[in-house]
Amino acid sequence: MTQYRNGSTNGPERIAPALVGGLLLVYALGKRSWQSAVAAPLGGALVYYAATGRNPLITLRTGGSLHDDGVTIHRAVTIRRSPQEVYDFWRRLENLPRFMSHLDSVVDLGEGRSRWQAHTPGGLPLHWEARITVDESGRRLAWETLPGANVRHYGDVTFRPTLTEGETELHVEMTYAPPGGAVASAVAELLNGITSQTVKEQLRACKQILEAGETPTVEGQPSGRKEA
Amino acid sequence: MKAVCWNGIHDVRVDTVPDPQILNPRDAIIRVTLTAICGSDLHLYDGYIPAMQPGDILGHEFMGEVVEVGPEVTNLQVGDRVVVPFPISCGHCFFCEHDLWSLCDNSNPKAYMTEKLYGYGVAGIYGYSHMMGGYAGGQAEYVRVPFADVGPLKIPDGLTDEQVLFLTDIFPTGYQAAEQCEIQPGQTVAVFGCGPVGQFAIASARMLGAGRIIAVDRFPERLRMAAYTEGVETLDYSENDIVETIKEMTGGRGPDACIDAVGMEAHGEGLIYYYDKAKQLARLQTDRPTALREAIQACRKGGVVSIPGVYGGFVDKMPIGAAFNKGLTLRLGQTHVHRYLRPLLERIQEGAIDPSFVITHRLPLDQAPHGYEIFRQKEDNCIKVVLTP
Repeated sequence: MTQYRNGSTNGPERIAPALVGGLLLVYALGKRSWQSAVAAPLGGALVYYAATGRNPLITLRTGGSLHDDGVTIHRAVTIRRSPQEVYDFWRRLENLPRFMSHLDSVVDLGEGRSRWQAHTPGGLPLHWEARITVDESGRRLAWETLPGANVRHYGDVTFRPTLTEGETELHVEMTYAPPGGAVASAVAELLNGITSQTVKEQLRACKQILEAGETPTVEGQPSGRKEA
Repeated sequence: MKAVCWNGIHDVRVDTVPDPQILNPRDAIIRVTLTAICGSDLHLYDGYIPAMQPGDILGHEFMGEVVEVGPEVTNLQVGDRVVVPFPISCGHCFFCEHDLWSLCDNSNPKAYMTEKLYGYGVAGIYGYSHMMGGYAGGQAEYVRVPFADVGPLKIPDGLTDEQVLFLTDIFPTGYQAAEQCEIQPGQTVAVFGCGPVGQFAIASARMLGAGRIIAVDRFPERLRMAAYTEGVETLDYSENDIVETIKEMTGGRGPDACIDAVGMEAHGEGLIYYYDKAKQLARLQTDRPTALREAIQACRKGGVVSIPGVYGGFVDKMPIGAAFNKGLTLRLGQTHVHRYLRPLLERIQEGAIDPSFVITHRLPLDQAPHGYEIFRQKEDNCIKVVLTP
C-alpha cells in the first residue's frame, strides 16, 4: 500500500537549518581534523532537516538513512488523454521542462540516458545525468540519476487506464535527495523548493498542456497597479 | 486604455492601464462595445469576496468586437461581434465535455486557492478575484479572452448589443435557476429577490411553463418590473411574514420550487438578520443566508430549492434539518453559460424575450463609480446599469 505523505515541515523555518547546515558542511569538508568529525554529521543532519522537514535522529532511530531518503512525493491526476498519449508525452523527456518549472532543459542522450539542467528557487544552477530504469510503453516510466550527480533524483510514473476510454490516471512518485556532501546548500534549497504543492502544480500544468494545449496565465495582463 | 479598477471597499475608479495583449495561443482581444455591472460585482464592491487586489479590473458581463486572435483561434475573425460567457472554460476537460463549463479543470491559473477552500479548483471568471484566477475583467475598453475558440458566441446582425449582452451571465443564470426547478406545467415557483437574475428567473420560469410565480422583494420598482411578466404575483417581505404569507398564497401546501436569487448579502427583518450581519462584519461567517433559509422554509415538502445567488464561504444556522425532513432537492452553482448561449440566442431571435427590459441606467464607462454607487444603494430605482466604453 502506498503511503501518501503531505505533511512535512516546510517554509521559512527550514531556511535557517539549511544555511547553518550548509556552512557546517562546507567548513567540515575543508578540514581534516577532529572538528570535521563533529561538524560534518551535524551539518548534514541540519541540511537533511531543511530539505525534508523531518528530524534526522528520529529517522535514524526508525531505520531510515540520511542518504537513501530525501523528499518523496506521491501525486495522482486524471487526464483526458489515453495512457499511450500521456506516456508518449512524458517519454519525450524534453517535454518535462514545459510543466516542471525548476527544470531548464532535459536532453535525451540516447540509450536511455539524459542530461538534466535545473535551477533552485534562488536561481542556483544544478545539473545531473539520469538513466531510464523502467520503460514500458503506455504503462510505466521510471528513471534515476547516475552516480556523480549533485542531487539524487528518482521518478516513477505509471499511466493507468480508467473505465473511460481515452482517459489516464497518472500516478507520480518523485524523490529528490542530497548526495551526501558537496554543494549541499544548493541541493537543500532545491529540495526546500520542491514540496507536495509544487508537484501538484506541475501535474496540473501537465494536464492543462495535454487537455487544453496551453497553461492558463494572467502574467502580463493589465491592471491598475503601478508596476515598479 | 480605460478600465474600471477595484481599489478597496466601495472604491472603484476608472484608471488608465496598459492595453491587454495575447498571452496564449487560444487568446483573443475584444474591443468592448457594451458591458454591465452585475449584482455579484456588488459582493466585490462591498468587500465580501476574498483575494481581491487593489488595481484589479472588474467586469464579467461584456461583449464587443474581435480585434486580434491568437494562432490557435480559427473560428473567429477580426471584426466579428461576440458575447463572452463569464466562466472561462477550456472545452476539453472532463467537466467541459460533460457540459459543466463553470467547473472547468484547466482555466484557473490559481486553482490551488479554491482547491484549498472547496476541495477542488473551479473555473476562472473574469474580474472576480484571484481565487477565480485573477483575470482582468471586461469593464474596460479592451479585454483579453482566453480559450476564445470555445467561449465567445458570434451575434448575427439585426440584434442590438442591449438585446444580447445579458447572454454573458444573468439571462442564462436566471434560466438555469428556473430549469433546475424541473417545472411541471402549472406548478408554482417562488422567486426570492427581484434583481436582474430574479427577473430572468421569473421570465424563464414562465417560458418553462410555470402556472404561478410569486416574486419576493422589498423594492417597489423591482416588484413592478417582475409584474410585467404574465402570471406573476408580488410579495413585499418588509410588510409581510414571508413564509406564512407564501404558505397562505399556496393554499397551505407551499410552492413547488423556490429560487434564491439573492445570495450572500441578503437583507431581512428582525433579530436574526442583525445577528447574521454582525457575524459577517466580525468575519465569523462569510455569507448571510437569510433568503436561503426562507426559501428552504417556504418550499413545499419534496420541492426544489434552486440557488443562483452567489455564496462564497460559510453560513450559520443553515436549516439542514428542514431541508432533510422535507425531502428537498437543492440545486446550485455557477452558471454553465456556454450550455445556454445558442438556445437562448434563438429565444431572443424569435422574439420570445427581449432581455434589455431589465436595463434602467445607461452610463459611459467613465461614470462606472456612480453606477456602482446607485446600484448598491438602489437609488433612482436602479435595477441594472450598462456601461459604454
